[in-house]
Amino acid sequence: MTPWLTPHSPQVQAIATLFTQFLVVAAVVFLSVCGLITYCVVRYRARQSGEEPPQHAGSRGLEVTWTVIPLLIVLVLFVLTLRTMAFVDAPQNPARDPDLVITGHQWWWEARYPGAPVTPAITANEIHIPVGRRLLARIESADVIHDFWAPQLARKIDAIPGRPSYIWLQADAPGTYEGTCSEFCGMQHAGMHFRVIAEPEPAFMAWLEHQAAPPSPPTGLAAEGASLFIERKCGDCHAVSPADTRSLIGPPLTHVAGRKLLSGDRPLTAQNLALWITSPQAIKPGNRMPNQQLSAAEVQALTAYMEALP
Amino acid sequence: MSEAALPLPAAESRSAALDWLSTIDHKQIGILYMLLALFFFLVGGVEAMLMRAQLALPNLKFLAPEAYDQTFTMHGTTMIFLVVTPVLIGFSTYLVPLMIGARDLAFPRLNALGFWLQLAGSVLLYVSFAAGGAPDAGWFSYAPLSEKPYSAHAGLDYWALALLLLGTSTTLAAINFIVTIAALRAPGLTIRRLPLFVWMTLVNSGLIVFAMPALNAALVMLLMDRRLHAHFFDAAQGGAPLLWQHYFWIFGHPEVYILVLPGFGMISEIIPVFSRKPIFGYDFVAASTLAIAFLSYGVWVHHMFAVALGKVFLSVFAASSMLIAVPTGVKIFNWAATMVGGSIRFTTAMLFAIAFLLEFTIGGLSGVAFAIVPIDWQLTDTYFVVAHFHYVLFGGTAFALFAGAYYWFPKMSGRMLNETIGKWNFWMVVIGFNLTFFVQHILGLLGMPRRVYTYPNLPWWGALNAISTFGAVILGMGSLIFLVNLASSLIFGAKAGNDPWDAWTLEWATASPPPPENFENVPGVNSRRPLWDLKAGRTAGAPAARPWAARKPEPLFGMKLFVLSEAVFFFLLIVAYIYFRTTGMAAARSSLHLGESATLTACLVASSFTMWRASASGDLKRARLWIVATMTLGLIFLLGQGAEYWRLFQQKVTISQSLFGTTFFTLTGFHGLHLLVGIAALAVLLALTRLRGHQPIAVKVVGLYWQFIDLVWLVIFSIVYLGAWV
Amino acid sequence: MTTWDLLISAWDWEPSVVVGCLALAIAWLILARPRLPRHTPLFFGGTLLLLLDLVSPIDVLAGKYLFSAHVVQHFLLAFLIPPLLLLGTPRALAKRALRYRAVTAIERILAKPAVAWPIGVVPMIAWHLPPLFNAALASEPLHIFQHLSFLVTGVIFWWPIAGPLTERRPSALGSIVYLFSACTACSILGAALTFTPLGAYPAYANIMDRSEIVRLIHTGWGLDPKSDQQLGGMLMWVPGCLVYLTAILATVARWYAAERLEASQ
Repeated sequence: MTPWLTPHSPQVQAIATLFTQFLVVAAVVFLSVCGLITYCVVRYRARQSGEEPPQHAGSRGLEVTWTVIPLLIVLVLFVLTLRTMAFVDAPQNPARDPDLVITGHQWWWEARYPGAPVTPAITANEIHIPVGRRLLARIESADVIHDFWAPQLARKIDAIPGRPSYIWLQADAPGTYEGTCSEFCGMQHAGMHFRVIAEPEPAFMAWLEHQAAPPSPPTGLAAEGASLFIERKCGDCHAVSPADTRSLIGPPLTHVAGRKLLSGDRPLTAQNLALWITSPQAIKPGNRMPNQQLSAAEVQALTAYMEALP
Repeated sequence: MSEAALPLPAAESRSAALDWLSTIDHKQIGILYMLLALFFFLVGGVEAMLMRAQLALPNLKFLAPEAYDQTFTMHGTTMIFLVVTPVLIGFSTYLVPLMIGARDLAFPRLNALGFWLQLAGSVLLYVSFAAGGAPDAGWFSYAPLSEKPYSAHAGLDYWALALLLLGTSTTLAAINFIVTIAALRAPGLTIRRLPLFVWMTLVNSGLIVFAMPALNAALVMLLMDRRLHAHFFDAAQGGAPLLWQHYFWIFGHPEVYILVLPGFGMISEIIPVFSRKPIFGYDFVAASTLAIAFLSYGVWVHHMFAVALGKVFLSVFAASSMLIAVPTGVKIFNWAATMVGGSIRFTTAMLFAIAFLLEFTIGGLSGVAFAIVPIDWQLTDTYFVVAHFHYVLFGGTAFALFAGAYYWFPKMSGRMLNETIGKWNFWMVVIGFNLTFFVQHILGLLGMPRRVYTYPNLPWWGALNAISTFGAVILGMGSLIFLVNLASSLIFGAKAGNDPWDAWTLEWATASPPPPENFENVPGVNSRRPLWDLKAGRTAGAPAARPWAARKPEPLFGMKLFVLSEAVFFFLLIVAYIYFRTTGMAAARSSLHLGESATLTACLVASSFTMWRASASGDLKRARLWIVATMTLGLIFLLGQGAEYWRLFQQKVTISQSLFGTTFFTLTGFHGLHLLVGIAALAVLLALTRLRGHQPIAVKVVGLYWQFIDLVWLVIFSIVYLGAWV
Repeated sequence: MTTWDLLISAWDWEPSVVVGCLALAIAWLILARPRLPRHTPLFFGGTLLLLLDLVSPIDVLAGKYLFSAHVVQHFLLAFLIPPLLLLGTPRALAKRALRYRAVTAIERILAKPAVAWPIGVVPMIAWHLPPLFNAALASEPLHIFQHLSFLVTGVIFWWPIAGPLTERRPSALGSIVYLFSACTACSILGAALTFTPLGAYPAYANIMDRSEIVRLIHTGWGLDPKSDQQLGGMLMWVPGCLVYLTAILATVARWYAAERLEASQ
């Protein structure tokens, strides 16, 4: 995960600047306290004479000084805070539909694109956005409190059940930006990574259209896998069609083969897919997927089916 | 080593063990608190080591995720509730009476009860390990993660129950401190001459009295949700997960100051003594403590800046959170200025105090980062937070506690702690602490979230975490050296004498360890440094030295404080009700019978009158009649309420059926429970008068509680019943 | 329209208010003769604030456009103006007034903390409950009564704390409890206003008026009705608490100083 101190959106840029300003102020304060204490320690260590030092017990002028100066510093920081807040959370038109609805689940991220010209498009853990456009994202939760955090692109925001929140999501340049959940949400909090993939507008639109289209019917081994998928009730939790918004207990698999990563943190390969299917608790212990006790051949068929969902 | 071998204060008695178990002496109870805290410091330390081991390198599998979650939850809960809170209470219990020239706390038996509740709560928390699993939702247990569907085993139930016990214990201790400091000061020891440690204990106790009930209210709601299927935090039924966060942090942020203020007090005693100068700006150090105390109730939302709460709302809390840095800064500058022009002796205690100044400044400054809302939007819930609060609670409180231990151990045990081992202790702790936690700032800036059981192998993450773990090992060894020093000095330490540091507060005027009665004669006080005056022969004009004279503790004052604390509890339950009503919860109007409850309300009002008559009556026989009348009216009310509950159950209005049921039964149920306690107290009182004759003060104390319960009902009646028709 | 235009143009010189304030000032001048006591600026500051509160753009905004401005108006009437007026009242004047038996009798009852507290706090909460608040907005006489009641109950509330008869003030601890409990009550009100859903005060949620002022508020200041109501709640909450806090700190300082006196004797 690349730190937010190398920002890729104007909003995060503003926060990074503010942080630098804060760091300078904090350093000055800390060094002056350090200096004062070092001076005392060196200058006023006990002498042999045993004489008591002058019993000086206070000074109103000094008290006022070190109350007023910090007050002024705080005032400056407060003004900077207000300005940056107003920029990062710039007001949106209340009537505007969100471009993107991101829902936190234990322990994966769902992304829908209700504002797009081509809908329904739904994906998991890999969120595509067009470069340079400021998107209004609505953040929701399906279960406990999560926190959506793509450090280089946006501020973090809590995803709270029953209480949607909004942020601006924007990327300056094409690229892949890491993100993660930033509010403890249970056993796989550590495994709740995601990626934001920023692409030029045409590439994004093409991707969106592809996501909104149903996958082509599987053939051969993949077709066997598809019937196994139904037989074993995989579809109770996983969607394999963009229109299916009902079964979202697990991440939608509609165009799973088109994703780079499996479960947000490892390459999407046949081996890893097979590992997930055979021992679901091996990669992310605690997740809700049961072990279906499948035979090797069945696993092979299901893997082939997954790979046939580009 | 048996406890009998400890050179600690002990009354002559049949057996040492029994003596310690049955003690009501503040010095023994103080030491029990500290030993309990020391034990759990080891436990919490082991938990910390387990976490650091798991995080030493990326993708380790040393602890399973569920074990890691339990470990960090228990580490936080242990360190806050079972270590820092009791050790601070222990110090205050031990030192406050000595410092103000009193013989004991105002209510010695209450003090003992507080300790045993603390022990019971601690044990209860750890029983969870054996009962299916420890709590695993973090020390602030955000709902709904802490609700039954997401944490099914009983760990969180134990957590909530244990915290209720611990909170009660802490509140009792706080009330005891306030009454003691208000009523039992030596002649001439005015508020402006109080040792700053006592001052800060006083302010701190005030904070506790008002902050703990917020935690209690939140815990009660959580338990209702978990055990009785209520819906306080259940969004699907109209509940509000955010309510937990508000209530928890209304307690939680004052709690942060509760955990550091006594530390500030210790530093304010130690730095002057080892600089041979009075504290610089006494009035300002005292006043800034008050400012911090008041502000601390108005900053809790900075824990929730990542929640979209509205810009105006966030800005206001940003301002207050930044503002609270100012009085804290004033303190730091005054401590540093105390050293200026002094004659500094670098004892281990003083070294820890100086290190405290620097570490706490770092913790304070990184705290300002979280008041700056946009920075918080990146940094909250990362390792930067972990670094920040360890600089506050370890670099701040724990360093102050080490300093305090080196400073007061001679008084408590009669023996000096070894200074050579002390220096080793100091340097290992300073180096280990900074290695462990400074790098965590950087990890936070790099984007490492807190509470992750493992992390991917990203540039620098592994190396920095390895450094942190390495530092933790040094820190752990440094802390063990402290234990070694404690144990060996108890046996081999040099004799301390009454006043080894040439100090000037009253505790140094008596023997080390002090005799059971504390003082033969309390020196006259006419300045902030009575012993300094005594040594310099400047005692003219001071009240004469006099034996400790028994003064009346003030139970009525204690009850007033308790009632205030309870008032906050009901206040928050009522606010929750109002909140749900304004956000769309419908009152089950058809199920509430206004006439019936108005009759019951009249019953309670009448009982207020009879109770008042009982308190005002000097004649035992008449007082008894009035008490019986009060009890009868209370019972009629409870029976009436029982009938109402029955009717509501018949109509399927239950605690789990709707949000209204949830809030209605919790609010009226807790009121009923309090009323029941009131009736029981009156019954005890009747029995007591039979045994010991008239107890006018006890009647007044119970009477005050009774009037309070009645007042609460009037508020509930107007809001829940009359308000249902608004 | 700019903010400046608003500040210049939106004044409502309601004659009754102007006459009332003038009468207050003149009466005070006559009563305080012959020498102006040193509290004079406090009293006149209070009077001026009262005048501004009721005729300046705050009043115009409060009347039709901004819930938050209305809260500011009430806040000044009940929290700030009464203590200023009281602190500006010389002791001798109060003593003179208390020579009349009727005044003494009334003062004896109203100055009791147990009486003054509810008289000060209950109207503050009651008037902000949506039904009463909206009714006062709809009816001018009720609105005037509302403002008068804030002023009068405010004076009664602050009398034991800031009144000229210092020897009759409650003990330091008593004053702190008095103020702190009022602060708590006021915080609830502030919090409730902050979290109350939009629409409880319909006059501000959907302003019918399409004047320049509305445009200034919405686009110039970026204050939508939701933020406006939240701001109103926060204004009741925070500055309210600050006033009480200041009074508490003043009480503590006074107690502290008194103890120094006692200790030095």
